[in-house]
Amino acid sequence: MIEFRDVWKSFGGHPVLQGIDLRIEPGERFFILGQTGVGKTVLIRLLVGLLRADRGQVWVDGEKVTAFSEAQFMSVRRKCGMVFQFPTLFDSLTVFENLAFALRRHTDLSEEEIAAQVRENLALVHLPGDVAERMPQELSYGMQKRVGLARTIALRPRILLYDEPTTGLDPFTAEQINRLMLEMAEKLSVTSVVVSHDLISMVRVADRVTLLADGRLVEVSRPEQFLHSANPLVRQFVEGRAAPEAAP
Amino acid sequence: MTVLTRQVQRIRGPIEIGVMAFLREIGAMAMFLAATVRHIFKAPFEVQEMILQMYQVGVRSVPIVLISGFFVGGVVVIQFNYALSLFGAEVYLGGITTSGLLREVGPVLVAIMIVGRVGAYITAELATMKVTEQVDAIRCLGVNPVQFLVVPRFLAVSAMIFMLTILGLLVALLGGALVGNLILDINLSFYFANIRKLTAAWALFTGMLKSILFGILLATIACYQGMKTEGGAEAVGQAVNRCLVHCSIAVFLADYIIASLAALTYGLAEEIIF
Repeated sequence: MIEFRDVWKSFGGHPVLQGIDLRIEPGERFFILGQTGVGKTVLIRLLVGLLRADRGQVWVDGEKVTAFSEAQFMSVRRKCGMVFQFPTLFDSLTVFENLAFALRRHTDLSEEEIAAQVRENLALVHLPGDVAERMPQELSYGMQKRVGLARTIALRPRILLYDEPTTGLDPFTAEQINRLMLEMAEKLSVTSVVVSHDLISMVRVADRVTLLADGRLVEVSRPEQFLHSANPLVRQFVEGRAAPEAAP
Repeated sequence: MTVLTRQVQRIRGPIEIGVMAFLREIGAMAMFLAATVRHIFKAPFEVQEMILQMYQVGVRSVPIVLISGFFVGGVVVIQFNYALSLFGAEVYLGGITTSGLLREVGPVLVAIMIVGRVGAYITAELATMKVTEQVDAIRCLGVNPVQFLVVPRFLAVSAMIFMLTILGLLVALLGGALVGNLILDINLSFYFANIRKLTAAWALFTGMLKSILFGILLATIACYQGMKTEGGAEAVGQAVNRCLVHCSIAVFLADYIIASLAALTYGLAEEIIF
């Protein structure tokens, strides 16, 4: 279970999150929608300690992580995997070494067992085993994103955080990623928190969805309710209308 | 209020801000160094990464150290020969050249070469990893980036600068001897005979101490500048630029401080140690 209780965060005096209250249940596929730059990524970065809240409480799996030290966050990060917007593969390492990175450091598996695990993780994201020996830069962007997901699931986290997983992808590849998110949730029984502005992806994957606007969560609802919401901010987002200009 | 007072008040603000920023930077770097040293003794030790960095820093720097070391030795011999010939003291050429190379020219020269080749490389690599979120990805995989990225580079640079300094010194001495013999027609037996006479062990000790300190300074500055980078491609360029400037200043400043301290304590230390 993930919970935000009255969470505030600002950058350089500019408030980004203003009293966020949100509860995400285990096993849920939860989407946080919003325009670019409203602070969606900030919200999930608070969960793994890449950013710290100014005020309020963040709970992960029954633990209040708000005041955790960097060392304490290491255990949180092992059960809370993050799939970054860009693949963030280590470009000096092969795909195999990228996927073995966490396994070598956090498990007692032998090299043979690690190799088997790497093959299994590649298969989970529908990539052939021979990809393992290639360098990340030799792969297409969509393949890199899938390798990034395979690396994240190496330690079998219970929560997967996706940061804009379909941004910048063609519709076909975006659909592959949507299918992968559904498969991960089902096969690995993970809770999925997805930060996105992709409505198609939301409809395909989400159990519940919310909209972040002006530092606050506007509405938490099911995808079909969200699409037909009467809330003016939700309507504006769904219909892709520009925000009205502030009066001079 | 006098014009002078107004002028002083006008420039006091920016100076204060500049001094505070400088002190903050020094403090942050000291804390970064402390964190790095602390992580050296924490498991797991990234042996493979350290060997890779030693290759990148050390082995790949050998050609440039050999070439520049040889010619620097030659230049120093030519310059000293000219000065000594004014007093008819060419016989001391080997000793004075070696002492100068060991104490000053060798360690500073190797450090400056490493700044340009390795410091810039390390800062650019870490800064790029930082702005492309690879460092965050390492943290999210439950690995401490200081332990995985900084410690191997810190140890590799510190160790390899020391070794490259020894190599550079040997080549510079050889270059000096060859240039002296082939171009200045100096007798090699005279050249080498005076080395032992005029080069104190203290000079060797000072040179080695400098190379160790320069290694620590360069490694700290290069890694710190890389790891604190925020932004995009422009920020990477700025980080590399800052690394080169800060490292060069740090090397010359440290060289001056050690040379001053060495001059002050030379007699006492020679008595105690040697």
